[in-house]
Amino acid sequence: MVTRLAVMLLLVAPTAAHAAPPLHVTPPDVQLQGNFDQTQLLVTGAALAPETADLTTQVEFTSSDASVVTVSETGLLKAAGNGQAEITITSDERTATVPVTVAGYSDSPSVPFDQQIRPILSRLGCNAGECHASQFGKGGFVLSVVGFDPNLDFNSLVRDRQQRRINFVQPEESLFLKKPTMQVPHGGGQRLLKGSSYYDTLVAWIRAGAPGPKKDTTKVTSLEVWPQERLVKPGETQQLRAVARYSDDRVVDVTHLAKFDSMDEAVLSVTPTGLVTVEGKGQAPIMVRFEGQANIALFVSPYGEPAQLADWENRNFIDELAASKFRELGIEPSHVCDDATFIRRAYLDAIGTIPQPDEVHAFVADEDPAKRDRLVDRLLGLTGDPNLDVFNDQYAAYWTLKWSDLLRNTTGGQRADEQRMWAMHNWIRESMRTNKPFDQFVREVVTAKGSIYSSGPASYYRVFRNSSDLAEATSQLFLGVRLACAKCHHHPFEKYSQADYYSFAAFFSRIGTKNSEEFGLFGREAVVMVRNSGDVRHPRTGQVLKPRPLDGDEMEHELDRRIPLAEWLTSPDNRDFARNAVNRYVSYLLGRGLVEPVDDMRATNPPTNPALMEALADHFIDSGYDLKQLIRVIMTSRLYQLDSQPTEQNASDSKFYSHFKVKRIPAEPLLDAIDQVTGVQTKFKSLPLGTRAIELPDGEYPNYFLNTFGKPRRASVCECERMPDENLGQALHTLNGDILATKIADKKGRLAQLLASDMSDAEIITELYLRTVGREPTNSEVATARQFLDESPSRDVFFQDLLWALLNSKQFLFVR
Amino acid sequence: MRPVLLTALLALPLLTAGSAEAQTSYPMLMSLKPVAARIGTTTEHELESRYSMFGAYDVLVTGEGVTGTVVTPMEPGKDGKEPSLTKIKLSFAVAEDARPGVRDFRIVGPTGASTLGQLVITPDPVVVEQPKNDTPDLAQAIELPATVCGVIEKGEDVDYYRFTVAEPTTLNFHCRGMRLEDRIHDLQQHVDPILTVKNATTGSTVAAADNTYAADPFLSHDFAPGEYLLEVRDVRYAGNRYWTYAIEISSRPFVSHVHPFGVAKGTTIELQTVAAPAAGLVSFTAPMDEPAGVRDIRLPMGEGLTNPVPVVVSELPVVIESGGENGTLETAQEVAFPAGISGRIESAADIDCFAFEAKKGDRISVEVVARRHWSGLDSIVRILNADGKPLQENDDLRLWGKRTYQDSMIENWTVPADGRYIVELRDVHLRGGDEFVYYLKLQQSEPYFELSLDTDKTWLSPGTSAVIFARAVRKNGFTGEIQLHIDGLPEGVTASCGRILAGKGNDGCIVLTAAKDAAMTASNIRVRGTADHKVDDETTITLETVAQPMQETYMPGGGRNHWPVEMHTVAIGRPADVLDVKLSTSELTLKPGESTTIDVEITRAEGFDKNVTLDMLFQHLSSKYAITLPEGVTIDLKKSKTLLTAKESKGAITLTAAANAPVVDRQQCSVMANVSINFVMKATYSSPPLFVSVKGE
Repeated sequence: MVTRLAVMLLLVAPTAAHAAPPLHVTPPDVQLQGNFDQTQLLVTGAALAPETADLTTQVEFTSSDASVVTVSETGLLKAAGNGQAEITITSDERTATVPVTVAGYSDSPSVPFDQQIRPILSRLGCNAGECHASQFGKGGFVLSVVGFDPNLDFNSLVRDRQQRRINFVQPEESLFLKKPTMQVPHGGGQRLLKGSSYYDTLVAWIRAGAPGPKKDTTKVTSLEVWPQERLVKPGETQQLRAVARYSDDRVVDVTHLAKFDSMDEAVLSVTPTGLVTVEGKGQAPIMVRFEGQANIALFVSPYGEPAQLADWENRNFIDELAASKFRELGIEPSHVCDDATFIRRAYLDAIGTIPQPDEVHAFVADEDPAKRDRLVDRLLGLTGDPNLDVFNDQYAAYWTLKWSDLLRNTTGGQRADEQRMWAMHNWIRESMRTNKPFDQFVREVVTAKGSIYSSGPASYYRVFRNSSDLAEATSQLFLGVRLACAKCHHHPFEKYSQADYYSFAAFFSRIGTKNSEEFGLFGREAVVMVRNSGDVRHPRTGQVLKPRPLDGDEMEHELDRRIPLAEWLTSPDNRDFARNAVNRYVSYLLGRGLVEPVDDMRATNPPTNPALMEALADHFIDSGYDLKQLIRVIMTSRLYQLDSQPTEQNASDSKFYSHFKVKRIPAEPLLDAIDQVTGVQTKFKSLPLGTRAIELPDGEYPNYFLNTFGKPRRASVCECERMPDENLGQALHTLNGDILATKIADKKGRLAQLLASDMSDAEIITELYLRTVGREPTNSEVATARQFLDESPSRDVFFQDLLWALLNSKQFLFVR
Repeated sequence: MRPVLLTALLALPLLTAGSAEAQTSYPMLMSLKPVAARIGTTTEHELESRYSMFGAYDVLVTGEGVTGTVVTPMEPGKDGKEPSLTKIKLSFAVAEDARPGVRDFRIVGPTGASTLGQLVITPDPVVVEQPKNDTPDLAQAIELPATVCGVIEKGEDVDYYRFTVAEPTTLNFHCRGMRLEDRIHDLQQHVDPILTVKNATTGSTVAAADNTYAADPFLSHDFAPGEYLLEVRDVRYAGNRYWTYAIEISSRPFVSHVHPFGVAKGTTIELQTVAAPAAGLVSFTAPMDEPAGVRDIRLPMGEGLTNPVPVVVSELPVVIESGGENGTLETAQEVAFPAGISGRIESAADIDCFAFEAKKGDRISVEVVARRHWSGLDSIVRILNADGKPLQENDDLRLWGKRTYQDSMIENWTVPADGRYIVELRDVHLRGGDEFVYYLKLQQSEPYFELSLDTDKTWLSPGTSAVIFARAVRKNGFTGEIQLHIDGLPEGVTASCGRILAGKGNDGCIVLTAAKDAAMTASNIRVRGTADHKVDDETTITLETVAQPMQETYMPGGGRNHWPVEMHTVAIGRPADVLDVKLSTSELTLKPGESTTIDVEITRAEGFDKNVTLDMLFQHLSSKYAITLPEGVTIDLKKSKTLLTAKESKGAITLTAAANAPVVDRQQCSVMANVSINFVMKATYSSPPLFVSVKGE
């Protein structure tokens, strides 16, 4: 990818003293087949490389014979007649020529629906979800989403409503041409220019009798984009070229038919013809789509000159790869955070708990240079000493919360579901407590069976009850692939088709349950089991689909189809499995995944630091899918320990971890933190007093605070269900709500005890700072507090106000 | 006649016209505290019930070596009236040679036999939970070994116990909680215990166990020296004052299973114990002089004996699964037919195949005995032909037409052609392991019948009659009539044993009559059914089955159900609400298409003025639990007067024979008078036997 770019940037300085180098043209020669074949030329001053500037829009193109081939100002070649010709490219004193051969040009060209017409409908946006591929189409004209159902599209164009949309006698009078050219009113506006190549192709298709889609037509098997990566500066442009490879090995330039989208318009913009303009600094891809295939071209627009990283020291491979990215992007990371900040951050991220003042004191006072590593080991229970590994239960509780959210473990308020819910909760918690390897954890979920009371993971098959839900959940949870779109149509941003979707669903088509009386007559125990039969059919073709993993080959198991699925899924060869896991944990700890959204991993949504993603995946696989080691390697990196305060230089970076991303403490740890500070424990319904919010097993708790702060009800496997953002309701609740006020003023609470103790006012002020924000107050803060104390009519009221202010401070409410 | 059979039946409030006031009921035992008693000791326990236990005079306990007595004096209150005693003291004396494990017990008093309670017999000292042990700080100190008895008495209750380990030791924690509740008549949610052991110093969890024996956990852990906390709670943090538990904690090996699981009578074999902490080999001889079936045996281990562990003593020649691969048609282990096969699903996805030769027309049965005795195996069994084509399959079996078990059974499969066949066995979930032992019966299908009793107790008073219903499920071609018998009646009680008619009849009854001078007493009875089965024109065999008593249980929402138990007790108590059910005739003969009315008169106890409903079907809501009327004979409700309101005592039942009613000679029936006890229960009083005949034209 672009790891070498920063260094190379230095090498592309102007070399004016030398003779002008030759122009490089891609492709160096062109064969056009048939009337409507087109090819996009790319022109550079040197061979294609990330640092090679694009000259396509700066050169002049001329055709030696316009009756054979024409060329546009942007270098797009179109066939005009059979024969040979030459395209000359001129730039100042430099020239290049490209030989062109045109064959198969005909007065009555064949225009296959699948290769010519459907792509045009996609390119023009006719079959987009918001246009004619919406549920009821537009104006009665219905197309399938991105053309996944060619028969439907063909019928709509040619047969529907007594052929009113097509005119075989006078093709130009066809309604479906007059509308997008605005010869008659069209709600979608002008989408097609009369005389354009698209228009001509459509007319020719009608003249040819409007042939329909063919069953055994060749399909696009891959899509390539040139250049794949570019190192650019704001203001620069780059023409893209898209080439499709078909199942019969034909390679066809489809630049004029492909769709181009910028994935970050603050960095890049792109025209429908694939001309990219760099709008700002950063890193962003252009997504290119054609006939169910998608790919990207990645652009890096550095923030500045290559970074120096003067005081940077790599603590592990994460730092090496992060530093490489910083250098490439010209980002100077913030410095390392102080000890007090680190211990609070580490506690909250590892165990969902804020540290006690004595723990902060001891850590800050500790002069051991390895103390941060040692703290991480203690928090994760990796010291090997039972007397030091005292946080393991909190670790298990906190990460159980995370996985309970994702696995949607909830009763939904149904009391009858409690036993099942607890079984799954306890299984997750035991898995976390014993640091069960993640591949084993997932295998147990995917192949779960048996009693929903005795086998925690069997709940997976009660939460998700049909093969579609299971396919979608499994792919999203464990591969980060959002497959749901492909249930109804070809995935718009991915390569996955309905056949892919239902073939994946076929792994789950034989799951059923039986009743059992082992838990007694009142037990209502259900047992998840595999039935002998049950298949999935393609909803459109009716074809029975064999189980097939995404991007894999068909696989079958006579007794349980999930067994080969689990093997495939968790195999080290399936790197998507490891990538998905490490991406999630990166996002939990660093505040942002290498891919965002974290559970939307696809070729068109690349990681911000691909090398880091791969290295973390390698580390995770090599560790035996050890989640604690994954957390450890991240938390002990310098990258994790950077200060959250951005520098002027890196302030605009939100993707590359140049400064620690400030995160709102999630609902449950936040409530626990408030309880810990105030010394007033929240009582949760049907759970003994002392149960912490991070230990709550169910998604359903009638707790206003938790609901306000976004505790998910576990209705979705999407990470997005837990809203990480702060909002006005939360602010109003902590500012004005009675929960916080009641806890602060509790007569048996922490503050009441402090006020009743022998501690001086200054000591109490310090104690409150330590307990809330994990540090001692500054002199200024002490002075201000004293001033308010002096002005306050009541000592009690002042300290209640101080604690209230601290609990409402960003330093308390956020991990920073 | 003053027949009384009190039975717990559910009735929807709308259907229980009239009384919602409690009438006379037998005691329903709800809990015993402590729930365990130590071998070689006599200990006192508190028994809690619904409905009064006043007058209880005896305690019946299953098995040998344990006797119980009522300790609480049964004295009238200061007002001279009987107090409502729902808590009494019992004493259990456990002999030195008593077998550890769970015993059923019940008390007997003037209102008959109670429902069943359970008592755990343990070799270790019993430690009773002390109040206020609900937090780690208040953990109750215990010495090990011990059997800790406590109660998860309310929601959010958590019990903590503190113990010390002096040297590296493996400790086993065997918890019984849920399994002690199946017999409790009205406990509609059962405990689901979870055990967690924590380091007492750091509070960190060192081990946890949830569900091993259904909801009951078993935990085995290697402990380093130190101090520990045992946390006991319901997994949901639910609670109930009746949720008792007994946790046996010791360093003794705990044997869960043996392999081979089935042993032929009279043979001696090395059994491999599946044990925590370690397996071993123990020699065992299956006795010749005991009936075949599952036995709980104790094997010598170390200086003592193991806990009881189930073994199948087989009358069939036993084949032990060979050590090699036997998972395919080609590698199937050859067995001679018939056979009892002892095997084990050793590992995940293991499949065991056994090949046998059979002739066309043979009828073959296959039964897996495993999960009923807590094998890990949830079996699925198939019969395949030599080409591997599945011919028959079964996952779960059903007994008595009432209860489902995760063992498998194929019955009466007809061999389609001479040849080689395969019995294929695996875990339905493709699991496996040491504890996945099984015994597989592969044998000729023999005609037989299952027999079950509705309820596990019958209450009469002197001079009255009571009725016991039995239901048959016929198997493997048997279709004949079944004659009922009863053994072990208490002194002063006689029985008129009815029959279960051939054809569509599944139910029969036994009417008991207590002598007018019968003393208050009780005994456990045994009901048998016998039948002649004609094999061919020249051969008739006699079939006999001992009936399975069923504890009746009422279900959430108003249903009625049954749970198999070990004893049915007949008790003579004192008179209750209905003193007599008189019929105008004891013999009734109908011709097809004819109707006849029987006049019924009840005698009410003094002051008893509640509604009484007459019936000849033992039914609840839409379910019929006993239909002893002959086929084609029905009650004409429009012509009958079955509801006796207030002080009414006379009613009538009109029976009609259908035009095609088959001929029947003197089928024994009973007319019952039902009294609502509360919204969900009614007491059933019975007439003397009524013999119904259908004669041809």
